Amino acid sequence: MPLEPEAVEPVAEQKAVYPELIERLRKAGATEVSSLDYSKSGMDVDAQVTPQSLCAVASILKHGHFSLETLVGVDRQPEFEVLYLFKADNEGPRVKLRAKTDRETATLPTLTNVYGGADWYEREVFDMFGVNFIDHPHLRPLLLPHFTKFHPLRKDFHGAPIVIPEDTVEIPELDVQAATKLGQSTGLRSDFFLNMGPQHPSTHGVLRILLHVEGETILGGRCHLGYSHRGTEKLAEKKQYVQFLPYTDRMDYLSPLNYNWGFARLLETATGIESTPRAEVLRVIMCELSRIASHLVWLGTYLLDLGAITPFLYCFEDRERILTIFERATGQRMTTSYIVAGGVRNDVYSTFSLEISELMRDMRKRLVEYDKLVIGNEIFLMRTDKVGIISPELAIEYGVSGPCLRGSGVDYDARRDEPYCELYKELEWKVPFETGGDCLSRSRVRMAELEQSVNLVEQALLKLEDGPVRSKVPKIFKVPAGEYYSVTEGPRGIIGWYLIADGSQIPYRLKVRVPSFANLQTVEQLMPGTRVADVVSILGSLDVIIPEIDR
Amino acid sequence: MSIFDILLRIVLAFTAVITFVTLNALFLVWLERKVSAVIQNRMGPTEVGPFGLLQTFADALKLLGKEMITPKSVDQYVFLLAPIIAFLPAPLLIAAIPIAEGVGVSDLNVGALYLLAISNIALLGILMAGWSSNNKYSLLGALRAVAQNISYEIPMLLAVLAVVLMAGSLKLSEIVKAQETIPYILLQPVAFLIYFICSIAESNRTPFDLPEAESELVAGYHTEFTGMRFALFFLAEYTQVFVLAAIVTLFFLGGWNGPLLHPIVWFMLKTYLVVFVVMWLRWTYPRLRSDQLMNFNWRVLLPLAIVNLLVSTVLFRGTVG
Repeated sequence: MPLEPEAVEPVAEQKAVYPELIERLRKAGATEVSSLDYSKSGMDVDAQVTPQSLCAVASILKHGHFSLETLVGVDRQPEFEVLYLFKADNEGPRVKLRAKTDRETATLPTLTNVYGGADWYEREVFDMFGVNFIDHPHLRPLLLPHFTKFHPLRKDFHGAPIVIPEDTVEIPELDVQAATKLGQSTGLRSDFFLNMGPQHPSTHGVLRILLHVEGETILGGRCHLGYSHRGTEKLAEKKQYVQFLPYTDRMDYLSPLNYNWGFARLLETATGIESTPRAEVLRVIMCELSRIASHLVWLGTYLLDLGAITPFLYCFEDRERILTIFERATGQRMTTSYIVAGGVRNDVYSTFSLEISELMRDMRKRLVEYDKLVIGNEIFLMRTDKVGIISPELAIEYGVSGPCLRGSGVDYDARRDEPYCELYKELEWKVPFETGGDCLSRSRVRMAELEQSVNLVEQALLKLEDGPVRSKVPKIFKVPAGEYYSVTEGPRGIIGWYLIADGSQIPYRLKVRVPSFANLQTVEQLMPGTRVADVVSILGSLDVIIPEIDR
Repeated sequence: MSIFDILLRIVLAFTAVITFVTLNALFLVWLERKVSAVIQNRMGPTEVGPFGLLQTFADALKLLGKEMITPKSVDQYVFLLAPIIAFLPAPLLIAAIPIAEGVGVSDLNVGALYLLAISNIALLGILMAGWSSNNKYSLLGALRAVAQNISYEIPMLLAVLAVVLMAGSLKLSEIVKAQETIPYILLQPVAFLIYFICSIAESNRTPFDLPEAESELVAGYHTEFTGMRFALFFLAEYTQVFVLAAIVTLFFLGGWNGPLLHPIVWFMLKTYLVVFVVMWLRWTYPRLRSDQLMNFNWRVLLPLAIVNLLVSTVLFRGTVG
């Protein structure tokens, strides 16, 4: 089924704008550069690069203020391919660089000298495919244990025993070196290392940060991930598209609906299925409610991290009401599996609108209270003001997204800037942003977003008209061969899905770009020179969800 | 007085003080849970006894029955001694507090000095606990506790000095007697504020609860302690809260002075009111950062306390007997 004509038009316009960029990429050494149809593939420009020209081409993009969104490793059998996905600011194009390497050597130059944010992404590709990135400063497994010898996302991997060597309790020498190196900028010396996590109350899940501290001052720190790695991307290669939906609930346990939508949107982009008008309104309502619930959890737990216990209980009280609505509408409080390709799974119950408008009325009152009592609190201001400053340059280099990006003064919101839901254009709302870049700015952005989400829900309720909630979807769900990318805005930032389909019922490769991954990566840059208490404050303000990062 | 009389006196006093320390801690824990419940829209304990009053007894019994785990890597003797030393000042302090004219174990003529001096012994216990646990979080917690307590001691003493200056005595009953007409909170509001803030910092409670900041240091210096050893820290902490409230009552709120009601009732009412305020603060405020805590002390409280002392010396020169 073709997409609506009005959705295609602006995209077609965009397509014509980038010959200059294509020319510059060609000059820098990209071999095959072509433009793509955004509405079909989610990408504007596709460029093949050689390992030698990779850094030069990436530099061109960096000068154009592109941010590195993610790396996608693919086992093309026999060779490996690494896709670098870039995004320009609001109106600009999305660019995909493709670098190939053969199976035996499996080496590529590192991009960390150009984009600092490539660090973790390259480590993940190293983990999963065994591709070596030459001159990478800290190339060791990111999600898998550091002693693993296998690469699970290779197509010839079918399981292997995990042998735990005896020295796993020790802090690996490499980590100590890395943490020390980060601390050199502060000019202090110390041999005191502190393991924060993986069982720690304020790492929000199972994150371990190896801190190098001198008294209370942090010299440096390294994040250790993978404690809740479940191999979702490998699972995706074994499941049918329809069967994969429940896994999307389990990425981010605070906003499953937004992930449902992202995945549904991917399948709709790939197959051309359209959702119905009623379903679109329901999606907006549910996802904005989910955003409110998620931000409320952030507010409560952030204050808990800062030592105030009471706001947590108030926030959870409000969130509970939202979850009750989810339960009645979808059957589950958290693992909703509600938004599916072609619409939503089932229609809502009769008092749905009434309950939500009542809830939103109460929410408005509560938000005023939260703003006055919590965000205006003197101690809260002391703990967050000028702490953990992410500059706009750093944010773009590391591919930070969501409230963290907007807190750094970059005005980008996929709901407004990506044409993924027409309804967001019709409703009256604005994208809040602050210029401070510190924890306080990020907090203020989230508080303003809560208010905007209440706005959106209230307006969307008025647009809820009778009609079918799901369009016709074929019984056997197949995706035509090709590569697709889709982007939606979750409560934490950009949720991107990259799909390589081979025409069957099962994805050939499915990569999820999770917002917390990039947001958390900045923490290593923010920590040196701060206090132990600031680490908690910064982590809380980034609002990361570890299971989402680990997948 | 025969030796027998003296011995009897000691045994009686000791029993009374220990009983009071225990009961007071049990009551305060219950009160804390009820206060936090009210502030947080909850019910708090309701099941055991009327209004859940016996809940804390049940919890204490449970703690008694718990295994006392001694981790392998701890410094054995110091680890065993730490909770005892931390608890030691609790009965010693209670013994020196008069709760009405002539009611109390001992009304020393240097009561004010004694209270402030003895309360700091607990700090040694905390430092020993943090050091001997051989746990990085415990050590950081203990370091914070020591730094914070020593710093806040100074403005606190200066604030008390202003009161002592006005009363002309270090004896607690004399200080109370001097407030028969007008409590010192009205004459010395700045000293009251300084003392109140400092004493909250001394007792390591929010917003100054850095030594046991659960979101940073897990549980701070008492991370490794279990069962009765943990309970001793707990007892010490709640007794300290009571003592700080009692000192506020004695120094600033006019002690047991008050119309109609019995002096003991007045004293208890005022003291538990202060305790309530301390709890109220705990459940409403976030926590400060260590450097901010120090800045606040050295740059705000200390100069203020010195100025206050100077001003009151000049203002009340005539009244001092």
